[in-house]
Amino acid sequence: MKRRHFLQRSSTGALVVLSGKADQSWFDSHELVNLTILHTNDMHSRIEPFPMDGSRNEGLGGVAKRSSLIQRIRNQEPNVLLLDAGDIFQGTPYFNFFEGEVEIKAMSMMKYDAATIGNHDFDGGMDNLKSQMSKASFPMINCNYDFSHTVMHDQVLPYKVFHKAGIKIGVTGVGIKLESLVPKNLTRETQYLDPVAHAVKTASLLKNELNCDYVICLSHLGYKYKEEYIDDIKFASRSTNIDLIIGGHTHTFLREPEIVANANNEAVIVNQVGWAGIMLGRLDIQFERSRKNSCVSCKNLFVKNL
Amino acid sequence: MKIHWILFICLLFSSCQKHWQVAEVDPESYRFDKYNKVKADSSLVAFIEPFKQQLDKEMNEVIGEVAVPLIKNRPESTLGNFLADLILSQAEKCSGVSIDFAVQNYGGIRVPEVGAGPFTKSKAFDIMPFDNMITVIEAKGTVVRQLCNRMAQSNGWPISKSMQLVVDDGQLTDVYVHGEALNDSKTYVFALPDYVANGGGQCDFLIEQKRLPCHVLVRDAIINHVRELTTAGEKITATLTDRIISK
Repeated sequence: MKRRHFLQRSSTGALVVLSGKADQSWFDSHELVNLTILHTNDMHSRIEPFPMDGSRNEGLGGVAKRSSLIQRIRNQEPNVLLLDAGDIFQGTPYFNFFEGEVEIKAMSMMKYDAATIGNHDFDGGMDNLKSQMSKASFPMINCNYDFSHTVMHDQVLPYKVFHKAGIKIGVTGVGIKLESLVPKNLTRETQYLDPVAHAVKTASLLKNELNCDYVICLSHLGYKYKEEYIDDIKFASRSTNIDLIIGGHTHTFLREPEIVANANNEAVIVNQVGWAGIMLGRLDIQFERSRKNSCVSCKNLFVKNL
Repeated sequence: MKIHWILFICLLFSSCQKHWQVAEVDPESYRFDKYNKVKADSSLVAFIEPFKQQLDKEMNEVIGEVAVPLIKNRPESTLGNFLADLILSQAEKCSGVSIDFAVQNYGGIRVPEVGAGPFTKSKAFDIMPFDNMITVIEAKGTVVRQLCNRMAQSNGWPISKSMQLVVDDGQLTDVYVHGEALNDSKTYVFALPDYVANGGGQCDFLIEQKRLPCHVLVRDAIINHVRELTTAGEKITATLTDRIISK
């Protein structure tokens, strides 16, 4: 087990993590379980590390090293979820020559649990995406693309529930607007639907009807735009029932995850780890099984003075 | 009386009902660089090997030499200028007509930098992994102005040296082609990736414009151009020439 520290914002920041001091009474028997979420985004077919050519990224990344590290973490932690936020394809000759087979098979060997669909995952066309996903040991999850009139109609899950040591984790996913971003001959009859409305609806189902303890949304919307386009920050602030957004698309290297107040003033964590498999993100989420309002070890992520 | 007992038991049960609550969250990230001592997973290495061999045979051919590092940046950059200029010269070769200017959409360039030294075929794939074709368009100055407005709004796209944009706080103020102010009623011939010609990057207004025949991938254009430089005994280089002036 590794050293623990807490998400924190500076005193000027509106969002803080404080240690809530709960009285530890004799009847407060509590059970702690650690869930380890590992995540990547925008791998862009970077199978080998960047070439040693004197450029800024030389030697960075590579699936073989990533696989070893994931294996090491799995050996230390019993409850691991490995997730990807899309744009698995496009960026090196591996995709031009092998059409995504190497990427999907490598991810399957690393035992990814789920991925969402990025705009570049359409680059080989829908038939190719379908045929590559048939080689995957993990599902594609998305709730705001309507694939019903395409070959992908039975290939994508709107959500999936994972069980880890008694904890139920619901995972859904959202994708970016495709018009003007992906050529129409690649997306065909795919319909883009409002990501916030569909994610919120799916998250409500996961939390309130399927009784998930934690809801994660994989997002390929992008971290933050000045313009009015929907991004992960706006999405988080308008959402409910989502605890964590694992983002992609903008290739943003966040120094630390960002905490955003949702529509009910509850904390949502937003994270993204660059691109090309240069980094692997990790969030250890410690759950306590306790009566409501009596969580002994809760260091509540909460939102102050908004 | 009985119902009260049931109620009481229910209340007791619900108050004791336990839930999983998030106690704390501990973020961390790992960077795969030379300081990261994790060993490569031999099963992944073995899986990749046959694919890698096939690619290496094709991709490791050195086709040119980069004299100075080429950087991708906004509004103007050496890598952007290199690409826009070669799109122009290769489009002229493939269409057989004189091209007024060329454009490469910024987002279509997929590396932040090309280091100095040998230029392998794989570098062309890194820069331009997409199978974008060069498209030659013939259109009025009004359409060119729309395109320039779009480029100004997105803080500048690579353009060939025959074009100059003046931008004031994201708004286009002036356009020059071959040193002359853009004439809205004149017809211009220009080259850009089909991604943009087909409306990508919010350029819907290009979809219906007249196209002249030219059939070459942007990536192949890069490879052809680099081979031509090498044959002529030249290295790959580019400079900044004030193509986009921000006021």
